[in-house]
Formats: sequence, C-alpha cells, structure tokens
Amino acid sequence: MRYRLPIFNPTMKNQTFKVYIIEDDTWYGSMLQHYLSLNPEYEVKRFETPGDFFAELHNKPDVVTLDYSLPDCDGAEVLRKIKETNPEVRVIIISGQEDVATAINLLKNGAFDYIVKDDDTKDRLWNSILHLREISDLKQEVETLKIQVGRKYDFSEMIIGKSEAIKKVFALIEKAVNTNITVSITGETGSGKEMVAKAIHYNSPRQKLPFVTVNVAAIPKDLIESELFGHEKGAFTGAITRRIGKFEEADKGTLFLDEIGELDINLQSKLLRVLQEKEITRVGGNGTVKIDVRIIVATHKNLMEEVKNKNFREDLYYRLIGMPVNIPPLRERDNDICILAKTFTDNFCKENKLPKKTISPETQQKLLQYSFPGNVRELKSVMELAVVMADDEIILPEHITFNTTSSIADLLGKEITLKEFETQVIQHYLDKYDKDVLLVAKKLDIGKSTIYRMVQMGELNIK
Amino acid sequence: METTLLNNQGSKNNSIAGEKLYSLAMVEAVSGGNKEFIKKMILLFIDTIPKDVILLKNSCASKDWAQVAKTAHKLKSTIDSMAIRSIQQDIRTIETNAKLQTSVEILPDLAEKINHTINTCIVQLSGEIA
Repeated sequence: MRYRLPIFNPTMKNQTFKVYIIEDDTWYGSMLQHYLSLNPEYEVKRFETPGDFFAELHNKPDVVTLDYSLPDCDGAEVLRKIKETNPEVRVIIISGQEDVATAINLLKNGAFDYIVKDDDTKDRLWNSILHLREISDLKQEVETLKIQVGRKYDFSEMIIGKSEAIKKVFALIEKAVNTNITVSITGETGSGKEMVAKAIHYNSPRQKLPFVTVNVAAIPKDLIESELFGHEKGAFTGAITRRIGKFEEADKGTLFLDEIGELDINLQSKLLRVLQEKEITRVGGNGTVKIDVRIIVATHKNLMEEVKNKNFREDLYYRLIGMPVNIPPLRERDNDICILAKTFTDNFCKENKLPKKTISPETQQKLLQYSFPGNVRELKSVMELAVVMADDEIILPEHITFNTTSSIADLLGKEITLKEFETQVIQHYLDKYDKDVLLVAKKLDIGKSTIYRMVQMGELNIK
Repeated sequence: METTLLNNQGSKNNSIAGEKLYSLAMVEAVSGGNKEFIKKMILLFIDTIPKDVILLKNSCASKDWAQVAKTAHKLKSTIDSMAIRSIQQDIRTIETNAKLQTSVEILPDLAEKINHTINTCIVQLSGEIA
C-alpha cells in the first residue's frame, strides 16, 4: 500500500486554524496529531479525555476530531455537550465502528463528518478538514458580503440627494423598514424604484434573508404563473422537474414585484389569494405551501387609473397599496441633478482609473435646464459619456449629449414659464446647429441680437 | 463474528527471526520524512501497547467482557495502523464477541495469541531502532 503526503492548498488564508483531537489511544492520537501538524496553518492539540478537552473549549477550536468510543463516555454525548456549549464548533467523528445507523444519528445531531478508522482515515480526515475550511471561508465571505450589501443600500449613501422632494422619500423609507407593511413604489422610469425597494429590504430585520426581484413586464404571460408560484413535475409540457417559484425563493425575505401594473388580469385573483392566505399552490400541485414574504411592488403606471379602466382589480389594488412611496422625477429634485452628476462622474473615473474630472458651472447649468425623461438612469449614462468625451479635467457643455428628440417631446409636458420654454427651445436649436447663431436666428425667425443678448445674460450657452 | 480456536493456533508459529509481522508504511507516510517521529512512534508502541494487551488478557481471565470489548476496540486502530495482519481479524472477533457476550470461551486464547504476536512485534521493532 502506498501513502501520499498531504498537498497544501495555496488558496487557504494565512491564519491559524485550531484543530483539537480527542483520542484516548495515545499511539493513534499522536499519529493524527503529527500528521495534521504537517499543515503549518494548523494549531493541533490532543486530549485523551473529554474532561481535559472541555477545560480548553473556551479557546474556541475551529474543528474537533472526536473518537466515538471513549472510556466512560460515548462520542454522541460529547458531541451533544460541545454543540450545547458552542454550536459553531465543527466536529468530525472518527470511529472504529462501521455502524451506519450510528453515523446517521451523529450527522443528524450536528457532526460535520463521520470517518471510519481504517487505512485511509488520515487522508479522509485531511480532506474533510480542507473541505471544512473552504466552507468556513465561504461562510465568512458571505457574512462580509452581506455587511457590504447592507452598507451599499444604506439609503443615505445610495439614494443621493438633498432636495426636499427626496427627503420626503427618505422619511417614508425610515417608516417602512421597521414593519412588514406592503410598500407600493411609483415613479417615472429610471427614477430608482428598485433602489428604494432594496433600501427598504436591506435596512429591515429581513436584511440577511433573500431579496428577490420579479419584473412582471419582462416575463411572458404564459410563464408568469409558474415563475411566481413554481410548478410540480409534469404540470405542463417541459416541466420535467419540480421547480419552486419566486414566492418560495423569497420566503422569510422580500419579494419585489416590479411593473405590477402589467400583471395579467387572470393572475391578479391568484395573487390576491396568496396575499390574503399567505400560502401558495404550485402550478399542477394540490397541496399548499406556507410562505412568509414581505411584498414591495412598483409601477410607472397610475394604478388607480388602471382600476377605473378595469385593467387592474380594485380589491388587489387596495391590498397592494399599503404604504405608497412616490419617487419624484429628477427634474423636480432641484440641485440633486448636480450632486448626482458629480457622484456619477467621480464613480466612473474611479472605476476606470481616470484622473478626477470636474463639471464646469456652464455644464451644470445645461444639466439643470434639461428635463431628464429617463431620470437618474439617464443622468448616469450622460455623465459617463461626458467623462469619456472630455479630454481635459473639466467637463464642458459640449461634452454633454442628450437624446434631443425625446427632450423636445418631454419639454412640452413640463410646467415651465413661457420665458423658460423660449430659452430651452433656442438652446436646443443652438445645440442642434453647432452653436451657429445666424442659422438659429433664421430658423426661429428671431433677431440674432436677441440670442446674443440672452447669451450675455447667461441664459444661453454658445461655447 | 466468531472464529475457531483451530484458526487461532495457525499463526502462533510466527518466527521472531522471520518476516516482519507489521508494516511501518503508514507511520512513514504520516511522518513527512521525519525519522525522529518514526522512532518516537515505535517507542510509544513499545511503551503503551503491551499494557493494553495485559489488560485485555486479565479482563478475559476475570470475564469482565465490557472491559475486554473496550480494550479490544482501543487496540484495533493501532493494530490496523501498524498493519499487523495476522491479528487484525482476531482483535475484531474479541471486540464483537465480548460486546455481544457470545462464544466468549474462545477469547482467552485469542488474547494470548494477540499477546504473543505483539511481543514478537516489539522484539522486531526494537531491532529497528537499535
């Protein structure tokens, strides 16, 4: 028989990993101790009695290898006491018994692994500890990421703005996080509805549990029922296995139903029943599954209008409306446009390792004059393009490019004064015709001196 | 699991001067090339195992089957690790029969066989570190 020396895993973190061995057989225990000590990252201690071990348990070992047959005390009892004292400690049972029932019981009671004493014990123990370390590292990574995600959705950091309009949204989020009330978020496209939903979830007591998003408009009508509620094997052609739906996936967490106004009228009654009964029935299934899900919905539509037009059930509307949060369009958020523009510019420069760029006052003015029909999402892409277009460290108005077709259409829908309207129309033409004042004056049938006077007043930009 | 007295007698003829009754392959593999460790394990074997074998014999003589099962169980892993093939099955028979208290009349002879084999091993092992 040939024996292999252990191979060290180079990905392991360079930190001491405490391995405690409980083994009454001095000879066998010494052998295991020496073998595991070949890994320099392990701090290995050996105990011949459970009493000696429990006196050291306060030092928090990462893993304990436990001989099942100890004098005057069996391994099951020692395992129970370890788990009672510190459930985080992983226990690997090493046993001379080849009894399957005993092994299953030990694993059920929290043992990490069960290894029978034979020629391969040392290799299996080595691999089991490596596996355990990988799981521990992954667990640690998940915890760290959860904290990072929590910070990411700290709404005072991620939903940026100081306007009165956005402060009202902050106040509503603060009220929403401490209860399970259904939240209905409305707002124009790109205004940040999903960001608000995540801010509520990641600041609520459910923050460590799933946040599941379903964009109702993006899923074909034929599939939405199965997507939401899951299906049993054979429920329909192609359902070759049982699949859980988004409601079950989000159990104990939050389900965000984006574009809820697009939900098929036939499914609305099923959704209403789920919300009332707090249980779902998978497609093709007979039994029900209890669920505990916090619901957040969002729509860009006026749901009340949809109810009046018989496109949305009134009873479901009242069930979903819960706490309404209306996100204001960017154009109604005063100077938030400039604050956000700076943030997006800084972030993009940092992510792409570019020198920091500043936004000129004229550029800020141009941004403030624009209506941003695509809201925050549009501003972000405008600023990222501007950073790319700007050769120097200052972003000038000519680096800002808007979708002019939609801006004119949107301009007509804005509540602004005639003077502001006039200014924006002239600026639009100036942008369109490369700041050619004479051509713009001719196109708009106004005097060129009118344009120059407005430029002098700072109302128009021809640079 | 049971074994007959006839089978036990078969391996009593192991010669001290003959083929080694054990293998140090596992100890050498575990050592990582550390010869001191191999020597330490041989000395530990010589120091601790005979005490357990005597306990096994005495417990058989006093018919303390619970103690016999425990001691056999403890010896089993060391006998396996040292690959002392001629008594691997016998130590298991002692453990099982003592635990179930079946055919216990064969156990003293099996214990004596184990004692004899271990003593031979010790003589051979002493030669390894001399």
